[in-house]
Amino acid sequence: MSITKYLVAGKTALVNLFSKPNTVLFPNEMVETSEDYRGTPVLVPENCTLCKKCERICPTLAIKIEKLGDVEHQFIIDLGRCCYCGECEAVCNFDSIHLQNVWMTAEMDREKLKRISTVYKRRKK
Amino acid sequence: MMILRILEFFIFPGALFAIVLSVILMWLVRKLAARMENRVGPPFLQPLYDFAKLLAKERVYPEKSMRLVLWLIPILQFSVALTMSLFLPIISPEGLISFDGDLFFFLFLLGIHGSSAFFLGWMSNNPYGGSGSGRAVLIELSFEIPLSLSLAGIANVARSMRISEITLYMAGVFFTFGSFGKILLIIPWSLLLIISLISTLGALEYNPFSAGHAETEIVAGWMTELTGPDLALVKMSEFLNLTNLSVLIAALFLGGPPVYEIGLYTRFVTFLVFLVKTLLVVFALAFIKTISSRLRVDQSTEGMWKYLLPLALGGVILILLIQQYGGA
Repeated sequence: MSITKYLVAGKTALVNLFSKPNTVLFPNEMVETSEDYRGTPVLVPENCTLCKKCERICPTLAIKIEKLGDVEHQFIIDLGRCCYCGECEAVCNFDSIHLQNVWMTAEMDREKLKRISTVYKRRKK
Repeated sequence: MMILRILEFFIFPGALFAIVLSVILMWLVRKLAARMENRVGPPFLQPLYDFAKLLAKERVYPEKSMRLVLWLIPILQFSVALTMSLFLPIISPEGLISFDGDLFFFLFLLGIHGSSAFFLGWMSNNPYGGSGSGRAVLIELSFEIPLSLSLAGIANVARSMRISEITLYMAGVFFTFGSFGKILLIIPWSLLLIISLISTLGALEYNPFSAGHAETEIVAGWMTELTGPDLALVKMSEFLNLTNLSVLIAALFLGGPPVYEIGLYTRFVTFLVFLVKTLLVVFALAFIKTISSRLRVDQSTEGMWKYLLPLALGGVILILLIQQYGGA
């Protein structure tokens, strides 16, 4: 290591000494994520047309769409299986699924990781 | 009077004060290093918490190790470090123990402290301990001579081998820039100051010379097998050594506690000036520790023998030449 590198390191150390530390006191503060951060996928039920493209493309089979009644469907996103690849967001033509910057998903029970929402099939016009 | 003298030895400026000061200085080093690395750093009493927690833990000795040595050497290190702290000039230029040549007795105790680490690692029957102790003693052998030489140079400036007399001389020298020779002495003075700071990093096994207990490589080096109170004593002697060396450098190079006659507050002001100088040295140590990365043991030995030792020798010779021909 040459002497100039030591000088750069020394300057950095002195600058750091008088600036705010990078450490964040976690439960109270959180590190800000970037705009295109891939966190938990969240469904917008109003936009969904139940085309099942996302269910087919999901590499970990995390998305499941089950028929409950005539028009009522259950849209299940299993975060325990999800690998946050963003394929479902990319394939959706109706902007109905988004990967948001929510990253605290820990639960005590595996069943609680399933995010269930109800989607009603729209009548053809 | 006798009781007062005993209190001086045990409380202020003796053993208890040295321990308190070293805990505070250790916190300061850790905090400064953390802030320079953009971290928050430990709370104020963290070194004390660590020490108290270790004291409460049980002792575990490895199989086929020499238990007597593992039990005795931490006590030896602690008592040696505590003895060294009695030589320090804290509230007056004279330490609690002071005699002609005490500077080199101090260095002798430092040598005992460093070489005892070798036996600790060697006797603990652990490969990490063995290699760590070998490295520790190599670094010890390398930094001791430049450190002794640089202190000898300063002893030559003051023409004394007594810590108190050198301190008094260096405290006065800032106000008496009489001759041209004395101003010239600044060059070898700053050279020897830097050399002794770097050697101090070796003595404390701080970052460029921390191969003796390289954490990511050989666990904790020579103190791998230490547990409970033994580890606590070794850590405390490390803290004490930080105080010893930084106060000694502050005394010998910066003048330590000077004697100003300001009536009632003389002792207080003396103590304050001493603290400021010590903090300067501690800041320098923490700064070098932070900006440098760990050297391999062969690199650090080579650096010390090839560059530090000739530089220290050159500084001493420069001082002798200036004294002979510059009229300092």
